[in-house]
Amino acid sequence: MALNTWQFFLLAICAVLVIPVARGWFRVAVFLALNGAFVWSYWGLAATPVAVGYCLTGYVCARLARGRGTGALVASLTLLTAIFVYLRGYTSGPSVAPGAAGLVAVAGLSFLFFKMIHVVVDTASGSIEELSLRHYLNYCLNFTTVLMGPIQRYQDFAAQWEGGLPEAGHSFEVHMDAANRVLRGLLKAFVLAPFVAPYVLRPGLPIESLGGGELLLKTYAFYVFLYLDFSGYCDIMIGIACLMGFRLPENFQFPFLSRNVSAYWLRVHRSLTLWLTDYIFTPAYRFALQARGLGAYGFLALAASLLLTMLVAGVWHGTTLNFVVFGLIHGVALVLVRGYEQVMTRWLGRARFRRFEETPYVAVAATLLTYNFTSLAYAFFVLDVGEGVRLFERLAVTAVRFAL
Amino acid sequence: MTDTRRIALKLLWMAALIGMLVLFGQVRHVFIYQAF
Amino acid sequence: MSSSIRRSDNGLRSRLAVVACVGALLVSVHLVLEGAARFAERRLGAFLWKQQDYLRLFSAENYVGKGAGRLLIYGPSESREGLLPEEIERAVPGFKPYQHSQSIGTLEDGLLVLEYIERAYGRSAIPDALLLGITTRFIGDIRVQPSPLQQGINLYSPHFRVEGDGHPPALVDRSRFELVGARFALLGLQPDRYRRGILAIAGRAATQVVPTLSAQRWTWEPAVPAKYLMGKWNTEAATKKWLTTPGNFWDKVHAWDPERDRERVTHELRLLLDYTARHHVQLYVVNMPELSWNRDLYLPGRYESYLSLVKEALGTTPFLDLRTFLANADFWDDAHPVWPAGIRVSRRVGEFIAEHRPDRTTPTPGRNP
Repeated sequence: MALNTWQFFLLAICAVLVIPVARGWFRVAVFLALNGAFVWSYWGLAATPVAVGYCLTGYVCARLARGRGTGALVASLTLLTAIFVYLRGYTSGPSVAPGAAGLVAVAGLSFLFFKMIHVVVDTASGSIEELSLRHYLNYCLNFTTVLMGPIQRYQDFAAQWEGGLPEAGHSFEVHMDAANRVLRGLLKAFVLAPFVAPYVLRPGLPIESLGGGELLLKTYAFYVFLYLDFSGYCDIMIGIACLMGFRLPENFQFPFLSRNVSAYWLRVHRSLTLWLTDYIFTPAYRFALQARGLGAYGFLALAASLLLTMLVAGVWHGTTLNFVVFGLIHGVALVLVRGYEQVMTRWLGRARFRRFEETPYVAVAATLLTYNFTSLAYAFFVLDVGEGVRLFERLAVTAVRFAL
Repeated sequence: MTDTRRIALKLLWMAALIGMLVLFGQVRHVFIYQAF
Repeated sequence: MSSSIRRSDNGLRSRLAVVACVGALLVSVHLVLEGAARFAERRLGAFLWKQQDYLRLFSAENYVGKGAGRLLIYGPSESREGLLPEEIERAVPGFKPYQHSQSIGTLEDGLLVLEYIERAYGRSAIPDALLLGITTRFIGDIRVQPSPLQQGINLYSPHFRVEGDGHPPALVDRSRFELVGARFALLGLQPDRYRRGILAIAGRAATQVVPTLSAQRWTWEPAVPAKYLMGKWNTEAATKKWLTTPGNFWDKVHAWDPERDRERVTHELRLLLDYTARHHVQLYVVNMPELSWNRDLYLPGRYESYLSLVKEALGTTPFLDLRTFLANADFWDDAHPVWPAGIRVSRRVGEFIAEHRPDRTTPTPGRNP
């Protein structure tokens, strides 16, 4: 059910009015029923049992991985990853299983996968002390996070489910702010985004016959469209969750004001960035620092970890080669930003470097540069590699002509 | 700003958002034909 | 609301209050926008359903009490572009022309519209005069898709639904349950009407403040039914190709045998004449202009057969044949005249109505040409 339909409106009203007052098993059952209805409308008859089965596999893996050492953990993660790759139908690598991609279309599969990895790892490490099936299922299928995040942590979900928000979270004004947030999200996703949609980059665009300026504007417009669409969805879901008495992690914070790619990833899809930091970057960096050769050069270890993290981010976003390129572009950019920060800190000293970054013209230039970079990188979100390369060639030719 | 005034302004903002959604929202409806 | 209000343990009251606020504001916004749309329709005479023109049928304010002095213009889209109310009004003062033509409409649809107006809105909605702009497709009831009017009535009408295969089909009263569903469905279509209503009001307000703005198309175009076409849809070759493309309605039109359809056409036109006689509605019929490339494509004798059938069935009703009135350069596409040509057609039709209009003190149905 799309978010602008009366069916979703009724489901949300039901959730908002019933979940906060219900208690015990009734509350669990009602929430599970609402989540089930929501995911059924997207997954349908074929995919729902597959997706729920996958969730339960994650639960079993988490229980088995607890207290059984690294081997069990690695086996669990490998199993979950293999099933994910099979269901997703990756085409950017060697063929995993013919026909897999069309078997079941599970919207939100990537988010489910990351949620389960988090639960398995944290259960194995003891960070999740108690893993209950009823919390776990509602956590995975939570209609406010299942489709496109935010990627909430299990501990946060369970604690809020048991304890709820402090009383300040129940005032009329807080609820009105939440309702306004939902309306704002609807405006972004169903008024502003469709307004921008006709002007964005699309696959199959006649790149050669369009002017460089027009192509650049379409590229900018795509970033704006993506932001409106995704942040609009997040606003709707975060607002509804707040009305239900839950606080979801924030995903967006004025991304257009990012001054470098590193800050960008903390302002865009923030919950994903934090997940990647905790489960890919930090373990990889720790491992790299201890590795022979790489560990001797701290920056190399950092660079390798960043590249690996962004490669995972790219591949997670999509099943084709262009997403790999997207991830690598961002990985390289992050490495360059870190390198630049290290060089400038060594040259100017930390305090002077901070002051230098805060000067208005540097801040503006950095913001513009970051905006242009992130817009251009998004070209590989929507175009395939060949089209993307042709786009950049065209833009480069136009830039050279303009400069001359 | 008093509570009442603040809440009144927020209600006004809510009305404006609803108005924009009603007027410009991409509501699904049946288009029987493209007129000509 | 100050902090002196007690908060419940779980905030249910405040949630209910917020949901109630959203609901109340939604209703209020709809009421305000509906008010603006009705103001535009009633006071400014605006036409707010440009894309789905049959939807106007479901708004009482377009009909109730508006029949006196009204010249209802009906026909297909050719009639919408070729019979411009403002030009006809100039030629026939005292009449208030109301453009009710409908894209891909047919005579069957026209009969449904007249019955609908009578049954849903009463005697005061029945127009004093009816101007029918006809084409072969209109009279031949030739379609390549189901009637949008009939589908629209079934989906959105708060009064009736269409039943049966008769010519025309029957209008059956809706049950209460159906009525609620139809009202909600129609509500979902209102945003388009609200937007045009606001544009119509804004356009009028702008011209009051800066009179020269009345020449700007945006101040008046959203609130009128015609599209006021200019230029050309396509090249001559492409238009000719379209006229002969198999599967579109033109080959059915060119091959239509009016003699085979005599019974139905005569029956429908008789129903029309009965209606106009019963309600003392003056009837004027105009055969709309056609491209010469189109004229050349009819099977031999078919067009003449259509004309004679229609004239025979209409009897003494004033009839104006404008088939050859326009040159090919006057058409935007295969059927619709451009704006300047529409003006010329409208002026000619206005003169025609003025010539045949009965004395106002003794209104009678149409007389001999």
